[in-house]
Amino acid sequence: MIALPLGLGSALWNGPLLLLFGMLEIAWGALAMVAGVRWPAFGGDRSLRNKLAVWRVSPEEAGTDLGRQIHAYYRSLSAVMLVVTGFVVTLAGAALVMLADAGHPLPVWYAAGVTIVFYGYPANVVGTSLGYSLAVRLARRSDDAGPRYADMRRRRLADYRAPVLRWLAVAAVALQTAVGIAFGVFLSTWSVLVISAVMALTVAVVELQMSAAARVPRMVVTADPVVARRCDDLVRSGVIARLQQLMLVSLMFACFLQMWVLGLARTPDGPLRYAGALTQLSGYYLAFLGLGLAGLDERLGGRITGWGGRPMPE
Amino acid sequence: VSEPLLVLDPGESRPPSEQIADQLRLQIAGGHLPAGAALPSIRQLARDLGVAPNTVVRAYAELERQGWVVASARRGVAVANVSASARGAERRREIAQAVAHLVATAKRLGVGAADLRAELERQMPPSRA
Repeated sequence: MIALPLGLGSALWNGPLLLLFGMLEIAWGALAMVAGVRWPAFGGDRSLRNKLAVWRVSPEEAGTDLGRQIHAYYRSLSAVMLVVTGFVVTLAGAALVMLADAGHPLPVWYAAGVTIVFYGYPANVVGTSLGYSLAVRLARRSDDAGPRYADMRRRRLADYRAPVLRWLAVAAVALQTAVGIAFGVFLSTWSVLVISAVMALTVAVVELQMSAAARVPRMVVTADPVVARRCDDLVRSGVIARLQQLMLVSLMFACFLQMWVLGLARTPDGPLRYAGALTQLSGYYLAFLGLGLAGLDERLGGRITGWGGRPMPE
Repeated sequence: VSEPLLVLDPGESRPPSEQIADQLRLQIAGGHLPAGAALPSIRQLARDLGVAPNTVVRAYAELERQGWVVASARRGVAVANVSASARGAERRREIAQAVAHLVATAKRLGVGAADLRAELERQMPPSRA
């Protein structure tokens, strides 16, 4: 087994710190829910105008009921996401407090300074992805706002995100699994595979949530169904793009965590000495992908969205 | 982005299930929905349109009975492989109905065949080969 370093002293504050952050997130989200439309929206009108122009909707719509509907949707999404994330982080904190109380070494593995990275970040990832999927289900459109219309095709994730992006993430997981198996075979150290399993689980869960986001009922409804559909697709592609980025950042985090764990093992000469470099390469590749997607304006090459920076598909 | 939409008119006398079936049939006959294209799930369509799932079930059952769609437990409802002649016949039937309606309106307004033809050519100019 790889020996993990124990940081004592301030490390005992890991649980209480997470509890505090979790409660702050819940309070922040609850405040956003209560304040409703008075809560400042992400991006504001200018950002929405730019997005509407890309989606071939008059930017002037940003100041109308349609713009308010989109802002309200984003607000409800952020509020629900914050509350759910807060709950997960609070639960993680409570679990660490209980484990510390029982004398388990897990809560003191890392010093308080890096708590957010090693315990808080995974909790945030779980909370954010659960929060997004819950938020898109909770958001309800007003049925009396306009005509009743629907797509004539089944909505799929491929409409909003190119399937190749799934396989690019799977490739990184496969590489890390191969590294984990190599360590298991040559050093009898199977703990590295736990990180690969978490990576695979992250991909599976976020993929499911992105599929769910593609399928939820239409929420933006206005007098002009064509405009409403474009705005609905805009919102939907935004949610999917955020989930995709969250997945890549989480995988990148896992790669660097794996690199850190591999660094603790005494790597013998031979093929295993390249494991750390491979993992590092994988982490940079995921960072590059994540950053690249951020520049695509939430258009990830789907059948409907096309790629950011390119004209919208006809 | 410019794909056709299925729009329900609450003011129309035809029941929603008929409106859904008619619009889908037109799109299939017109070739906008090719063979094998996956139609929305019953849940997706019902929620988008704000109708009961049974309404969509009735529409799909009618289309399946007429051979326009095929339903399977694994793939859901998809456009059937309809022969070109059947699609052509459906297009002709729809156009004949629409023209009959147009002619009836023109007669009520006292518009002659020449004016009707002129308006038709204005709205639908002959394409250049």
